[in-house]
Amino acid sequence: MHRQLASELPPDGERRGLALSASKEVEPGARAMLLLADGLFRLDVAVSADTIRTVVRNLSSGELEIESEPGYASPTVIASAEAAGYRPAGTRIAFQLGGGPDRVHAEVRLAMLRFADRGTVRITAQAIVRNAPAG
Amino acid sequence: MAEYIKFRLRAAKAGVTMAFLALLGGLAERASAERGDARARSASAPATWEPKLSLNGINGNLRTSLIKIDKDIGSVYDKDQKLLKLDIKQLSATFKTDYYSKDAANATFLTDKDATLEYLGKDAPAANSDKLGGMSPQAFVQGDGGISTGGATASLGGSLMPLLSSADGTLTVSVELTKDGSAAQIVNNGASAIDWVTSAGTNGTINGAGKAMIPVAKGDLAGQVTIQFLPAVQSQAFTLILSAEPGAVGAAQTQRFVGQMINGDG
Repeated sequence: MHRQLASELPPDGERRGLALSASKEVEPGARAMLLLADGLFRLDVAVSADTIRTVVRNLSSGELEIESEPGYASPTVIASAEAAGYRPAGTRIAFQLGGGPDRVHAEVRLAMLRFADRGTVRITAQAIVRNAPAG
Repeated sequence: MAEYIKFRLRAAKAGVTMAFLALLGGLAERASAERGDARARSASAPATWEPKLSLNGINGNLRTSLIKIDKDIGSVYDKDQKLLKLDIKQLSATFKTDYYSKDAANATFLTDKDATLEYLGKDAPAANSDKLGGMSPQAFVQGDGGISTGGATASLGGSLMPLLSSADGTLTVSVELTKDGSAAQIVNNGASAIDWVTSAGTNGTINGAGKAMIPVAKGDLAGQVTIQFLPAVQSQAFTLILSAEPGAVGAAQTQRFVGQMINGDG
């Protein structure tokens, strides 16, 4: 069963917005659906060793345009030494999809923690989806 | 030296008084006492000895003694001159090898004024450290900090344990373990209200500079909660994933917390 939080954001000018958040704990090698925006996209992730693979499935009628690919080194702040044991990491991906006035821009951040004692990885995602800028 | 004294004897016009003789004796003693000081005198001091004694009318043993004293003084002076020359030579060599010339020193060292412009003061913050927002170096790994991770262990009945702050400092998360269970305190460091909603179906609002307690797990059980924070007037959102697990078996009941917060806009 997929569970996620979806909340409407204050409009940015005429651009309406939606925040999606979800977290999954998976075993390395397994592929899991992390975010689902009905009629727009589905974001799957799979972790293999030190690599996190993201798959954006385009559910819209428009073209998917990846604006920034995820990379190995992503912005991460470690607030305490105790947290360092979980080998936190993160990355981001941005893309546009949809057609006409329904075209949207999605900014997705992914955060990862490793639970070595049980051999799993927890991946948390937050997506902010807004109408794509005009033009 | 002897010829010179003879010349002086012929040229002398005045008689020698007992006071002058006493002065001569003092001069001899002072010349001996100042032998060490002479080494420190300038190298430009004249290297000649000019006795100004007038021995006219003085004969016998006294005259012989005075001439001998004069010779001794001259001898001591010559010896001091040699020592001085040797010391000056050694000092000169030392200055050349161990000390900078004025030009070399100016070329090598900064003046106090220039050093103030070049280097930070003892307690002055570096310009780039101001950009770190006062956070400790260990809080930074890389990038612009859209994700923050924290871990903490809380004891039953203990105080709130700091867990993490959002990368931009808007939210601060602390955790605690009470007999009712594990909970997180969220502090809104901003001035605007922030709405929150959890995966457990609860929601609320934290006013500016306010705080809220959000349950994570009941009793000493493990639990996990995902929380969305939505600032009312900003185009951004925060997601906090927070879990609690029973800590190591020991005398005190503890709970291990680990949390990760994402903040971003779009």
